[in-house]
Amino acid sequence: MASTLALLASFIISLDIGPVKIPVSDVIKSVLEQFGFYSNVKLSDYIIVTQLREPETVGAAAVGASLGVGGAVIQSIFRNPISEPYITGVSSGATLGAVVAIVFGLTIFGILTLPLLAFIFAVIVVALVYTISIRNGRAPPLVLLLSGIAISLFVSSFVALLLYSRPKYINSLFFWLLGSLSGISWSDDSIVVPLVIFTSIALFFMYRQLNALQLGDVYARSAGINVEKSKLISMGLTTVSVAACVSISGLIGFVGLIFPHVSRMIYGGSNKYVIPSSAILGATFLIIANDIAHMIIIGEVIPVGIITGIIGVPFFMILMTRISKRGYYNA
Amino acid sequence: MLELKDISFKRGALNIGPINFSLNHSEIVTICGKNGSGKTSTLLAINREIRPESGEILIDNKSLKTLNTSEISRYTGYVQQELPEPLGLNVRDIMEINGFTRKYDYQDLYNSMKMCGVENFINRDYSSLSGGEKRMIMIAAVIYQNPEYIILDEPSSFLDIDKINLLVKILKNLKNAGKGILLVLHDINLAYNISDSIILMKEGEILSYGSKDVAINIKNLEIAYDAKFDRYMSPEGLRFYPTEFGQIH
Repeated sequence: MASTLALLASFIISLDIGPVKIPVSDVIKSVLEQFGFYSNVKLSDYIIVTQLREPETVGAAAVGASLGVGGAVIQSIFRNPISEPYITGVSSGATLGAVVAIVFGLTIFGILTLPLLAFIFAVIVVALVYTISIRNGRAPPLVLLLSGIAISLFVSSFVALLLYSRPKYINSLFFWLLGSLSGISWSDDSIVVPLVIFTSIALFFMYRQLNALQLGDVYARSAGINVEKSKLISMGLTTVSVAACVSISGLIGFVGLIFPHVSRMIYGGSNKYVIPSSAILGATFLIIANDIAHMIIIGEVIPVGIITGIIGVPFFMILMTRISKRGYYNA
Repeated sequence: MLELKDISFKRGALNIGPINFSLNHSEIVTICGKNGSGKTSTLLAINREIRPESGEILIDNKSLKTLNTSEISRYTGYVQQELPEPLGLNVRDIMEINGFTRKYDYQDLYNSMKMCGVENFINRDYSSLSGGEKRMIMIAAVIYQNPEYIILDEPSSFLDIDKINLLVKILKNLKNAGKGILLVLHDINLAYNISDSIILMKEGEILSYGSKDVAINIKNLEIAYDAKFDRYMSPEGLRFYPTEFGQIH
């Protein structure tokens, strides 16, 4: 409840931040008017709030939620507290897609070319990681993890090769790699937000299977859970969601790693609580991080990935120290 | 009845099998033998973690291969020797995992925990419990799962003397309630005391199998464990103990 209120507050505050000063009351009125409640807000303020600021804030919330949920799912599948959604090859695949689009100047899908290629390559790489991990019809978590790391390195080498051969594109890719939410439009949100909502709800309903996977594949199978089907579906949903987000935001680190842990500290380890809580906390954090990215240099937006790293790493270190000393429940 | 018919497979360098035995309702069967003799591997084959190269596993005359995961979980429940280390799950979460294929029944869940003396831990963080407490939670969870046949790999590990006595009581209660129980135990005297039948394994093969007095005797123990054995009559019954180790056979 408290975290939902924090999300709402950060959402409103975020819409208030920008070079044009708009009173908070007018921000709220603009949002209300958007939902059909009549208010006499100034047209220019209404447009700034709903067409310039809101798409980015909604995008930040979707990306943060997707990474938070993805982290909770991937940590459960791998039974590994230091894993996060990018570990399955989503990030390296998306990067390769982006580089292919940038380096070859592809425009086959218009302005959607880069995000679409990033999405497609991300899904292909995760599918490859999953396929090569299969042993006797099963994908053991350790093999999946190692395949994810190995294939990511392999794909990254192609990224490096492409950039080495065309160094003038290094700058464009550099900014994509840092992760940025500026420029996210309603058309981006119209695809990504429903995807994130659908996949997050579907993953929430798999909380018992994901809890069971934390106890190991042998345990889960003995309890009657179809382990391989559960892994395939939950990894598939996570990949689609995270790949869609990465395709519009680039690589934003730490959200997927940290917020499942914070959720476990607050609500306990069951994914029944960890999944929704990681979504809300991830969304809130990324909205705030994006606001900070707007405020550090006046008139300029620095990539949000820099902010999540600067805030995230010290926060993560403190968190890990507490958890390793006292466990999740007393941290 | 749970039946293993001519099961054989390879595990690392060890050829295991042919394994033949059966487990009935209201029966306790225990597998004993040295480390690396194939005891746990046999349990893993029953739990479909190892695919046998030949032979067949039947549960109530149905081939294991024809049953799906959910159906098998109603026939067999397995507690591994290793204790899992989940990320912050509490005891109730774990109990509910074992209730995946059955209707949620709090009274039954509570009774299963009470039977194992861990009913007060229901809201505790699992990782904060001791090894023995975790072991009892795992046993309570499989009891809540309520399968026909319960398979326990080294259930006495991490348990102190009190808890071992409780374990014996639990196993006898389950047997009286009609459950078939398959155990792997290192403690041959515990196995001798509680089992209806014993399987003694050596280097992947069954050395002896039958009622406890048929399977366990000085000669078989000496072959199985490469040690000299003796026995004495204690107030609890017959006890076997090693007197000298080394290649004596």
